[in-house]
Amino acid sequence: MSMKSRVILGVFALTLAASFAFAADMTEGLTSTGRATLKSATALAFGPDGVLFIGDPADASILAVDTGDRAAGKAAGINVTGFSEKVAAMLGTTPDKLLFNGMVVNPVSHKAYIAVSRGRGADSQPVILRVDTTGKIEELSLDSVKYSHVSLSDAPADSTDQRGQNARLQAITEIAYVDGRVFVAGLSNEEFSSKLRAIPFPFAQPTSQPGKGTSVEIFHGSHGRFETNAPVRTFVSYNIKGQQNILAAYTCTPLVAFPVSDLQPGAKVMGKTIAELGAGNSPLDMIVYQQDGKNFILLNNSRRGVMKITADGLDTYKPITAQTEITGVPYTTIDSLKGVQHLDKYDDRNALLLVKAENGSVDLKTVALP
Amino acid sequence: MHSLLLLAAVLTLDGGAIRVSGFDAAHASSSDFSQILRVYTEPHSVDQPPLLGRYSVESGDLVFHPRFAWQPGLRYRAVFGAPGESPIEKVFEIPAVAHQANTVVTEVFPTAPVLPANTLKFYIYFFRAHVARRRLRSHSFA
Repeated sequence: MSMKSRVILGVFALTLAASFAFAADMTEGLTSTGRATLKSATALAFGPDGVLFIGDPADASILAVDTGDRAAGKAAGINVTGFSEKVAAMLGTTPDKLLFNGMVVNPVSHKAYIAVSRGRGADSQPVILRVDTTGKIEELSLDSVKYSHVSLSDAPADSTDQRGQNARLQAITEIAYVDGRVFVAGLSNEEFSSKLRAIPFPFAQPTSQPGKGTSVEIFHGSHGRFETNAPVRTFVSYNIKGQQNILAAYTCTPLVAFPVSDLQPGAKVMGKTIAELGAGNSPLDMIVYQQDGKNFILLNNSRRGVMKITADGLDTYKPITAQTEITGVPYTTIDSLKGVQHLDKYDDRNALLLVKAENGSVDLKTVALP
Repeated sequence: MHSLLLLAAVLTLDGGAIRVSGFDAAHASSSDFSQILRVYTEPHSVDQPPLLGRYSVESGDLVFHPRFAWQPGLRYRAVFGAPGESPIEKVFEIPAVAHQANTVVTEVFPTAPVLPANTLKFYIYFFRAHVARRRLRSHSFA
C-alpha cells in the first residue's frame, strides 16, 4: 500500500471514529448503575439523550443521570394550579416546608423537572420531580439508574460563619450543558473564590474530580469596585459576534460576558460588564430566545420582576468601569409576569414558569414568550 | 375483591408504616397495591395526589412505607378498597412535638413605633439567651 493510500485510509478511519463518537448515545458516558444519592439538589440542566445534570452543592458534586425520558413529546404546555399544595401532599408535608430550588424543561419530551427541598436547613431532603403535559407529578426515582458524578475538590468548607451563612451552599449556583461540557458557576475555597468551570462530559471517571476552575473577576458598577468573591447566580451560553460567551448575572445585577475560550483551568479572567440591571436584587434564571428575527434574553429576578433584555449587538456596549446605576444593555420589565420563582424555555414560543399566585400557592404555568 | 374481605381488614399505624391486616395481600397482584391502598396527607382534596411510598407484603399483611418520615403534627388518611367498592378509611394523627422556647425577647429599645432611617443602634433584651455574646455582637442587620 502506498503512503498516499495509507494517509487516505487513516483519514477515513479517523472520520469514521469521529462520526461514531459524535453519534454515540450520551448515556454511554454514565458508567455506574444502581442507586444514585443526593445530599441536596439545586441547579438542573439537560443534555442530549435524556441525561439530566443535577447540582448538589451540599456534596459539592454534579450528578448526571439517565432519566429515560428521550421520546419526543407534544409541546402542549404544562399548567398545574396549586402545584405547591400537590407536591406537599405527595411528600407528606405542608407547602411552607418546601423550597423549589431549580427547574428545567426537557427540550425533547417537554416534561418539566423540578428540584425540591423537603424541609429546611440541615435536615432538608432533596427530591427531583417530573411533570408531564397532563399535569401528572411523579418522583424521578434514583434507586436504579445509570449515572455518574463529578466532585469539586476545592469547594468551600461545609460550615457556617459568624453570620450563620454556609458558603458550601453556593459551591454550585448554576449549571448548563453546552457542546460536550458542563459549565458550573459557584464558589471555591480560595480567596479569589468566584469560579466558572467547564467540565468535559462524559466525566473522566465514575467519581472523578475536575481540575481547578477559572477564577472570574468583574467590575460591579452599582458597587463601584472590582469583585472576585461574589458567585455568578445564573448564566446562559451565548454567541457574541461569532465567539461563544458565558453571559452571567450576579446579585445586585451586573450582566457580564466571559469568552468561553478564556475559561482555562486555574486561569484568572476579567469579565466585561455590559449592563447594570439594578441593585437590591438577585437574578434567578435566564433563557435566550428569538422573536421576529431578533434575539432576546428573559431574566427573572427576586425583586425586580422579569426583564426582557435586548441581546443583539452585545459586542457594541462599552465595558462598565466606573460607579453607576442602571445602564448598559437596555431592557423592559414585563409587568404581566409577577412572582416568578423559576422559569425555563418551554419551546420556541413559550416559557414555563413556577410562579407564586396571589393566594400564596405556587403554580406551574406555560405562557407565551413576551 | 369481595366486600366481605374488606370488612375484615384492619388498618393500623405500625411505627413508620401503615399496615392492613385481615386481608390476604399475598393473593393480590403487587401492581394493584397502589390502587387498593392509598394514603393522603390531610386535608385531602379531590385532585390531590397520594403520598409517595412503596408497598410490601409482610406476614400476609399489606404494608405502606412512606417515602419520607411522617411529619409531626400532621394527619394522614389511609383509604383501603378496590375501585367500585366502598372503601375503609382511617385517619392517623402524628403527635406534634412540643417545643419550649428557651430564649425569649423581653424588651426592644428604642420603643418608638417609627424609627429614623439613620438609626445606628438598637437594643434587644433576652431572657435565657443561648446565643454567644460574640456571635450577637458580630451579627449585622441588612
